[in-house]
Amino acid sequence: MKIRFLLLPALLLAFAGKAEEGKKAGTENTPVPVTLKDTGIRKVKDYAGDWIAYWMQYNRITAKLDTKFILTQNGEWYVSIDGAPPEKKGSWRLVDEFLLLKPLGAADKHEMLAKLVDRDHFLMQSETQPNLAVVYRRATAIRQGKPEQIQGSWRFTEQDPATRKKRRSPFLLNFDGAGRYTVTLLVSSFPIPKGAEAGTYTIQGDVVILKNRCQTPGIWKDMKFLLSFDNLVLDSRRGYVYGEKQ
Amino acid sequence: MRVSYNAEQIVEMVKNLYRATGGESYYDEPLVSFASADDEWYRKYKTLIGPFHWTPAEALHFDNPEAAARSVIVWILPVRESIRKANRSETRIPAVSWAAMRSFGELVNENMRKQLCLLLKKSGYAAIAPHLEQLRQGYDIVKMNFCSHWSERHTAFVAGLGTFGLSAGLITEKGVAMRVGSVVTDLELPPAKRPYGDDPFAWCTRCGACAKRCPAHAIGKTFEERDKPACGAYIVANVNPEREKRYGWMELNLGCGLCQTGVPCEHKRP
Repeated sequence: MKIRFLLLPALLLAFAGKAEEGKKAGTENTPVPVTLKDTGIRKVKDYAGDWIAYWMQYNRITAKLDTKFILTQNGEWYVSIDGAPPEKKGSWRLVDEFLLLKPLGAADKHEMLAKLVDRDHFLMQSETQPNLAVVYRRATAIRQGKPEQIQGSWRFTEQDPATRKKRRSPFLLNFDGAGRYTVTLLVSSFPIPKGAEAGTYTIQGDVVILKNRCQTPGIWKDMKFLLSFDNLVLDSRRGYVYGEKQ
Repeated sequence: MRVSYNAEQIVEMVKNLYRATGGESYYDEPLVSFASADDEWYRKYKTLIGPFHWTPAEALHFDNPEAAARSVIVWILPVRESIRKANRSETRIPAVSWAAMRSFGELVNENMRKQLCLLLKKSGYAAIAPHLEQLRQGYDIVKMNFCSHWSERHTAFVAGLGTFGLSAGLITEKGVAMRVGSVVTDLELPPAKRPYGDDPFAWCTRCGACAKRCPAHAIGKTFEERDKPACGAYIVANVNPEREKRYGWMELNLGCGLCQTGVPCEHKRP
């Protein structure tokens, strides 16, 4: 998937070589020019490495994307999509609390801005849809999940990200320690597509992947979950569904 | 004529106020530190938090437009063990003693801020407690996306007192269960060196214990996933209705604090 990165709406960069005073604040939703100054506290070596993309909506990470950024120590930026060999995309650098990416052939003013979240994450936010962002997680910070983490019965809650209204699933997902899962209906009339009632699972990094015989297009056919501490989060770019072990 | 104070005298002043205002009912002895009013982080906060976040100079301007802000005096009030212990065993809403600390212990903190300002002004200095000033002015926390004009935790970070955790609490040498107070002044005091450098999350081990404790599902694997509206909404829906029957007093924040207790960073740096 090709991802577009747009400037954070609150920032217009002015690299004049030295810091300048920022302008007065406007209202909450209007861009405010702010000058960034490189204080030199962020070192390239601290952010060089492999970074894996995750989809974030309304401040919830809900999907793992097929995109990997490779940031080299000498400032080169590569992208690998879906496991393909990395392609050089441009260059990168750090300024203050931001990481800037410049596509090949682009002018300085077209650098893309990512906000450093912490030492293992940086974030790129959509300018037109500020509730959407892509978070990059350091590849070495992704822990391999273990079967004992998910063994048991799970009930799910769907939360509307905008209204925050919740509703609970009328079923449980049960995972055993041998790589198998089953579904228990809590409401007998709830329709589970044929072939999805049972199957197997594998854990790849922080993702639990279900395999079954379901042929009906939809979430049950290629269901995946992200491991997030005590929760399973449905891997989806629409909505936010999290599971809690019962 | 100005009375001159050194760092030790200011620390003693703060500790004296902690005792005089009844702080010992809720807190252990405070940690006190100083930040430079010109620290770069205050400029960065205008980007990271919002342009509405005051620099120390902007805050002091409300007290005395002629004065030049030089220092920020910051203190941590670690919550007492008996209160933390009571909250540790809760899983849904705060213990009564925790809520009392949040309500009345914060009044102690407000008194400390106010009295320190008065003492400094009596000695010829300009002084303001930005948090009290923003309360006086009023602000719409929802419109500001659950941020404010002055974050006590962010200034404590600048003063070398702690770093942030996934819960957005500040992990100090005395842990995350604590309250923060600060005063900006034109008295020059030596700024503390930050033991963690410039890593705002240096002392968080990302263990996720706070996420597991949170009944509101408001803490995730990254700082960005901290869901302040969900946290606030949980308190409104689940804690506040118990105000009369369980807690027994009106007004004042009851808090929750489950993410600050029963976690490895509760009362010490993990």
